[in-house]
Amino acid sequence: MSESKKSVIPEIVVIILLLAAITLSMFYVINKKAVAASANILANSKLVLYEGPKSLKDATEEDLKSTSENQRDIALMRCTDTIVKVNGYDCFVYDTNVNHTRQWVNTYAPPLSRTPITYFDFEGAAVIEVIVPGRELDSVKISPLSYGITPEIDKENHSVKFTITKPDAYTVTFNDSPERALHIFANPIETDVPSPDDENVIYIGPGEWNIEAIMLEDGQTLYVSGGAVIHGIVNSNFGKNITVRGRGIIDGSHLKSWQGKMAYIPLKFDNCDNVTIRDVIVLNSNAWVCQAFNSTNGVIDGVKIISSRPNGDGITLQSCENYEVKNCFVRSWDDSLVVKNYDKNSKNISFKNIQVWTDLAQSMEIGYETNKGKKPDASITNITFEDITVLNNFHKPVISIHNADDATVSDVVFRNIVVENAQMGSGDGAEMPYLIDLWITQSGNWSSTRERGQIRNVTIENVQVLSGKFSPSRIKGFDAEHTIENVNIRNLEILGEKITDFESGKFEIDEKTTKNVTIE
Amino acid sequence: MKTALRIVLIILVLVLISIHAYGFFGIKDAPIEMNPENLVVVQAPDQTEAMEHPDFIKEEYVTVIPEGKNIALEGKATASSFTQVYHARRAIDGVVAGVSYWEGAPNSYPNTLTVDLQKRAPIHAIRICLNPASIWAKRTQTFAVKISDDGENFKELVPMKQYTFDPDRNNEVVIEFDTVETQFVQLEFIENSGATGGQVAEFEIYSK
Repeated sequence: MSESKKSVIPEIVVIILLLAAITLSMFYVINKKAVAASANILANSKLVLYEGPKSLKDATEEDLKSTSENQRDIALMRCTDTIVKVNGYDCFVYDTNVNHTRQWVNTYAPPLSRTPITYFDFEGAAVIEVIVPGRELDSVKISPLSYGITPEIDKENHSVKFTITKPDAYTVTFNDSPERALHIFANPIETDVPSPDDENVIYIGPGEWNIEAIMLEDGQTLYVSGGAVIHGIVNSNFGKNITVRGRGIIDGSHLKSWQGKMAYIPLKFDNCDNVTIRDVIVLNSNAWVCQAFNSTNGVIDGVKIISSRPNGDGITLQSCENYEVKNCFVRSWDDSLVVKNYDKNSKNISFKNIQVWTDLAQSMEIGYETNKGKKPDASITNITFEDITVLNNFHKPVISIHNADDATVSDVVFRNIVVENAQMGSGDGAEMPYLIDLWITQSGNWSSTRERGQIRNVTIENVQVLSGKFSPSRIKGFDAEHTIENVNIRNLEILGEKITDFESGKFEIDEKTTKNVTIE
Repeated sequence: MKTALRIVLIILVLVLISIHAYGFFGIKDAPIEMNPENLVVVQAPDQTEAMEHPDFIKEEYVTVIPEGKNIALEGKATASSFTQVYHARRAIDGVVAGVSYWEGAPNSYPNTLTVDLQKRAPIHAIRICLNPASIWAKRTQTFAVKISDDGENFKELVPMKQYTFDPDRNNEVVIEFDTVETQFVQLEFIENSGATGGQVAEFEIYSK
């Protein structure tokens, strides 16, 4: 090495050290900036908390027993075994009824369990801390899993902490058990709150209220404020231009199970036009929950439903046209999202960005009744289920078209469906433990017409089953004249396995009654 | 070369100083908690039990029962049509509550509901009832009252008129008229704002 080269070695060494120091300093500054930004988001976050009604009873150990509604108080209560703090502030937690029974109960009195729910509004970030003093925490899951939230678990203090930045419904599952899972409805900050002085507004403020029935008329808005609990129902018949909205709760725990006789449907809009239902929480219905019949041009947006009693379907659209259902959360003890024909034809219905937890029956169901009104040329057409996250599906199929009448069911799309936990076939669901079930049938329970129908043009794409069972699927028409045709399944993945042929997907396909069924 | 390296060295030192200066002065540490001013708590009223909501407390209403006896209970009811299980006989069974009512077939106006009193009788009033529960929301029905001695040839007793049925007023309509003798009394419906056919939970016909 020449002398001149030797003489610059110290400079080169210092330059290398400086570059290393600069690199480390940049990492430090970037990290500091990220921490500051995060703290800044939190510092500037907004939070709206709603006190629960002071009259709600505290849930005791006795109230948490899994038994029939004849054996214990099923009232909506204040939860006492789950504490929720948001950004350090206590958030009111309700204790409502759910149902872990995986079979139909003829007495209409299945054992009911309880689970905690809470809600708040926020903007920016919400650091949620959940404390369950009586419970050992082996694992905690935050759904939807697509957010990739890894909670900090403090086993010693029986607590879990995680941060959210997007308003949505979040479910905290402890120890891989559906029992006492916590549902958190984290709403955006509410805007455009209607005025109580508006003569077209029925304004229900915070508190616990007995209102037998709120029957809405043309042009009216019902506002159920956060912190309000209404024991009653909200209906309209032949109404137009009606809105139901607010953060509050519509509760049916004061009513006995309908026993197949008197169903008090909390949200029932029959023969209506232009009805919008937004944000409200509906609990403890004595039968099914949100019904529209022979109605047109409806929007159901951000509604949260938990049902536990027999025939507790979540959202059931019967003979409706031009309906948009979006951003909802439905946990139900019967079909969660349903389309059927009781009278007129169903047409142009979309379900989008919805979370579903189906304790009994199907998650997304068209049928069984496709022409209960025995109309000529009955059809159900242009129905879309898109961006649906199925948190749990315990009983019957996730995706189903059951045509038990003579209608033609056509142009149906199931797209971007994620099943977080597939447990089809539990209990008496073993008779149809399918992931996908397209079936033309005659049913003693559900058929009204003598003639059978058709199923045409069904697209099922981007379906992912993340955990649980590798369930079979079925595609079966009725006979050579009543067939299922043009079904295309694309990008199906079950438990990490890409399914590109029917055999590996455990499909049962009846070749005599189906045509042009493809998978890719 | 040495000079060039020294210039690079000086630049790197300046860069390092700048980074640290930015980190120290340019990034402010924010508190890792929410500003309490950004918290709103919507408070609940003091309640010890669920309360009737003041906007839904019904004014007291006294049911109107015409003088005399409801002789429809002893008659036979028929209708031009019915829907589902809501037969005509449910309109004269003395039960107003629950699902004991008659409803005409959807969109098949005019709907008629006729009571055969079995023999001619003097009548002076009728009372038409729907279930008074709030779920039977306020509605209008347009109908005429007709009478006949043979059940085939009816003449108008009360002309076609729109009536309001309001659950806050017991969902009842009472129509009084001069006493008339007849065997058949018929309601002819042409409109119902709450359903697609005429509806009657109880059709009462009064005789002194």
